[in-house]
Amino acid sequence: MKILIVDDAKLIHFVVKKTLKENGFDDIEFEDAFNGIEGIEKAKSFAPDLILLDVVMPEKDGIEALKGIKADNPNANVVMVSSMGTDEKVSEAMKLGATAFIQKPFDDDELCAHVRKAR
Amino acid sequence: MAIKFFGHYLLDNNTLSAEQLTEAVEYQNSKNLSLGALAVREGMITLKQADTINDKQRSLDKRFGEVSIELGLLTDEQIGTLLGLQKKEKVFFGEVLVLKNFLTSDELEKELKLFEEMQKIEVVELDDKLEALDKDNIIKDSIGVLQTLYSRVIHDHIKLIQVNDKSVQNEGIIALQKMRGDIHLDFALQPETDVSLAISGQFMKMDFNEVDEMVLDIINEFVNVILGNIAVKFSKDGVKVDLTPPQTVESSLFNRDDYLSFNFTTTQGNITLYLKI
Repeated sequence: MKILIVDDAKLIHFVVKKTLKENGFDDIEFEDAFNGIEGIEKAKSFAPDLILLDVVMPEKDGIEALKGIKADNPNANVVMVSSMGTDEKVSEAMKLGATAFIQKPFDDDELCAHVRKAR
Repeated sequence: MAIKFFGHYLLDNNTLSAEQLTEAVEYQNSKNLSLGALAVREGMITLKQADTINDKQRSLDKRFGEVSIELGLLTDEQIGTLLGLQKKEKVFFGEVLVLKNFLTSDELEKELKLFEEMQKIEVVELDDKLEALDKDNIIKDSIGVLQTLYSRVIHDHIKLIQVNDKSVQNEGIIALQKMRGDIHLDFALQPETDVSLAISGQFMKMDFNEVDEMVLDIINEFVNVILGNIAVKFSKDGVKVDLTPPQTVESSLFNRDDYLSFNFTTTQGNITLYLKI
């Protein structure tokens, strides 16, 4: 399984990988992107099964990145992971085709459940 | 556990579908108009003038009312009328759910009760002077969310000990993030070094001995999580805001005089919160 993490905070990349490894997801190939522009590029080149996408980011934010990712591949499986879980942002993301919205700080179980669903 | 908005909570509980959430938010947005849209509807300004104010507002980082008065397009009195209209016409999310038959009134009441119990934020009391300043509860909500998330994420006790005491000058890195939109809030956090290391240790479940690049990144993300959750809290009242990415600021370059300051004690050391509204 391939997962692309798009978040400007390096620690989120570290925590997601560590959490999934500790919960028995040993066969995942990861790719990192640190802003929206990089996220769109890597969503195309890496062809991940799941994209974990932050909202508040420099260069291009997560909502704009989601538009770009979906324009390139309408079937991309994108789960938003952000602290900005206002109804407006959640609804905007779902309307643009996000599968789910995880509010930071997230529980390990919540993250694992979404990865399991994407398998 | 994070602080969620009511709609997000109902979505996660499968009480509301994604389509229903979108429909309810769109309906609410169509009713809860911005000051610019209201001014155009009321014939006070043209659409073109509203665009000019909005463009200037963004470039000058000021509020709609301030810019429109500076440009001579609206008066103080008209802004007052518009604010009154905005308040009077405001539709709350729960009302929309009942109106659209997504929930009955009884179901709404039951879900709200469960939701509020789950999301309980610490109640903060301020002195009379600050209380008068804090009409929109921005200070109280900011402190409440900071205390709640610090306890939940770091599993440590935190207590407010001093307010606006300029003689208190903690050492340590400062993480700053800005909220823009209906509310302008600059939110900066300065944990003492030991607290930064403790926060990092809890986040990563490993030991940190010095403030390195990873610790700076963690403190920025910690601020991002707090301010995002504050935004979620504000949005319950129909407030629309966005956040800029957090950044680390050199302590010597940070102008404390522009901010209200709140000093907290924790088991690991002190944290200062700076707010500019």
